[in-house]
Amino acid sequence: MKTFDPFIDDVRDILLADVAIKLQLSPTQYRLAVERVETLATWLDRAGSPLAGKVTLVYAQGSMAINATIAAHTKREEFDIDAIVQMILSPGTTAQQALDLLYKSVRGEKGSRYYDITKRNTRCVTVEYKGMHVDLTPAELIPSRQPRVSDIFHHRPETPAQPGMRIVANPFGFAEWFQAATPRARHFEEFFEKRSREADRLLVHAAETEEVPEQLPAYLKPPAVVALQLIKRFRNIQYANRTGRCPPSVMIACRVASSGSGTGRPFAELYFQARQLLQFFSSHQAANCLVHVVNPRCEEDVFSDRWPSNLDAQKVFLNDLQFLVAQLARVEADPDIEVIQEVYGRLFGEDVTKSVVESFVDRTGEAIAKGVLHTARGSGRVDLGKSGVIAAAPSVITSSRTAPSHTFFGEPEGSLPRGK
Amino acid sequence: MESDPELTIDEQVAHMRDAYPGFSLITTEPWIALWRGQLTPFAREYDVQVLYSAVSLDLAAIKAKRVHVEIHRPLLRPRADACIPHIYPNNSAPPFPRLCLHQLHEWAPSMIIADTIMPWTLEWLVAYEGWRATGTWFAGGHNTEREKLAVRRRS
Repeated sequence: MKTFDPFIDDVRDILLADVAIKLQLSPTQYRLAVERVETLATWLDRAGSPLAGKVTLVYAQGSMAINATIAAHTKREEFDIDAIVQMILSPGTTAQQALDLLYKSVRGEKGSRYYDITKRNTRCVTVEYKGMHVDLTPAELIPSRQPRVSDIFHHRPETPAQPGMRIVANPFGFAEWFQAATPRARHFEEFFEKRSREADRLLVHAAETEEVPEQLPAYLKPPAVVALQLIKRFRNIQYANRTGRCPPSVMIACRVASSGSGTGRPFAELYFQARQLLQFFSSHQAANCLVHVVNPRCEEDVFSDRWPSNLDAQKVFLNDLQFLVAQLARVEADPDIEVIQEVYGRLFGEDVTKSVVESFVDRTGEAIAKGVLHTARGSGRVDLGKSGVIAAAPSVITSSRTAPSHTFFGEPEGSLPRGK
Repeated sequence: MESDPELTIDEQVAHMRDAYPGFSLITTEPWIALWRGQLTPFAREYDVQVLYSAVSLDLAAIKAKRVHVEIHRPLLRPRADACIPHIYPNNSAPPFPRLCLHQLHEWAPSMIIADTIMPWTLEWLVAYEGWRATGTWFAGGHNTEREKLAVRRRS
């Protein structure tokens, strides 16, 4: 796989990365999520628990396992953490029994901290916290298969007379495959990590909470993971007021990692991924068939088994992707900051984008006012690294220089018409 | 500064050729030079015209010993809520207002256009893009000082 490792100095990339940083879980949220899963694992194994001694492993799956969790975009929304609870079950245990067993074990007796915040779902048990929830999916290893290939369970709680069914899955294998298939880009990852730390220091300082941990895996993100997070954010905004299921994150993640892209830049990566997703869904829609996406490490693990339910549902997302690509094409073409702000705002949230752009424009303005804005002779390209606008960005222009002191002078008031 | 000798048109042309080789010299006479070229401070490319004349040309609203900078593409646009800051009208070609880059005493014909007017133009374009996006001229200047901005933003 051919990959590129460019320095990050383009304003489209810098603003997009800054928007993406705003989507990340804060260090406090990240640590809390990890701690809650660990606490639940310990709780399941407590003396008197129906699962005492029967839980062999609890591990992250889904977005948390591939480092692509995003923060909630509204106060009403929650971020979710998915974990697999690998259990030893009696022979012949039905899906209904497995899910009920986990539900009962998490919930505990009346008065336990989880009793009123635990919910039994079709494939998982959800523990609801303020602002986040943890989905625990029960699983049983299949001995004859690759490590961690498991049965998970499907049973609707509102149909107690039916036993449900087992489904073969390998979320651990998928996370391993995803990470191996995602090209790394050292310069971008260093840039993103530094920018994230800067942002988190400000956040932590503002909240007067604990120090940012030095090692936090959430900071280390290849461009494809950032692109995936941005696409998920876009999907969440598009589906916020729609009923029914939305395209599952794992399906999008699988398509992103399958694409073989290695652009090294967040904007180029996002544009590439949006176009390849559009192509994928367009070709299926044109052939009047639904997409079929399976776990590359376990073909029985079908990521598209619950969405799309029909061509109409698929068309809705196809329309979204067409919109996404059309907007990104505007940024690709010949954008000024106003266009970038308008597009990123529409796609990923106006408030987030506005604060990112205003901060960037303020920093460039300050560099001009202080006489430290470096521009390249010839093209006029602004050297954001040397200008101190982006502390994390290296200088990529060898001959940039500052301008002598001057004062932008006043305009004759009312000499030109107002209006667009 | 006043004692420094004025640079000739030929000298200004030579400096521009070295620093901004992509700029075409459209007109040159011993008393006037006109360049056109592109500047790309971020991602958008701007077509820029730079004119320097040693004499006044009233019909073209050109003043002697000044550099007149115009943006020809894309056209500069006001916001719905405000006029474009730091420009002055161009009566000979109203769609292309001239950039107000400095106070009178800050530039003299002894100074190299490529080292002064050109980077100032870039700074103006950077500030303009930010102003279009946010409605605030963050780059300082007469009546848009950052100190006043800070007071406004704190209040």
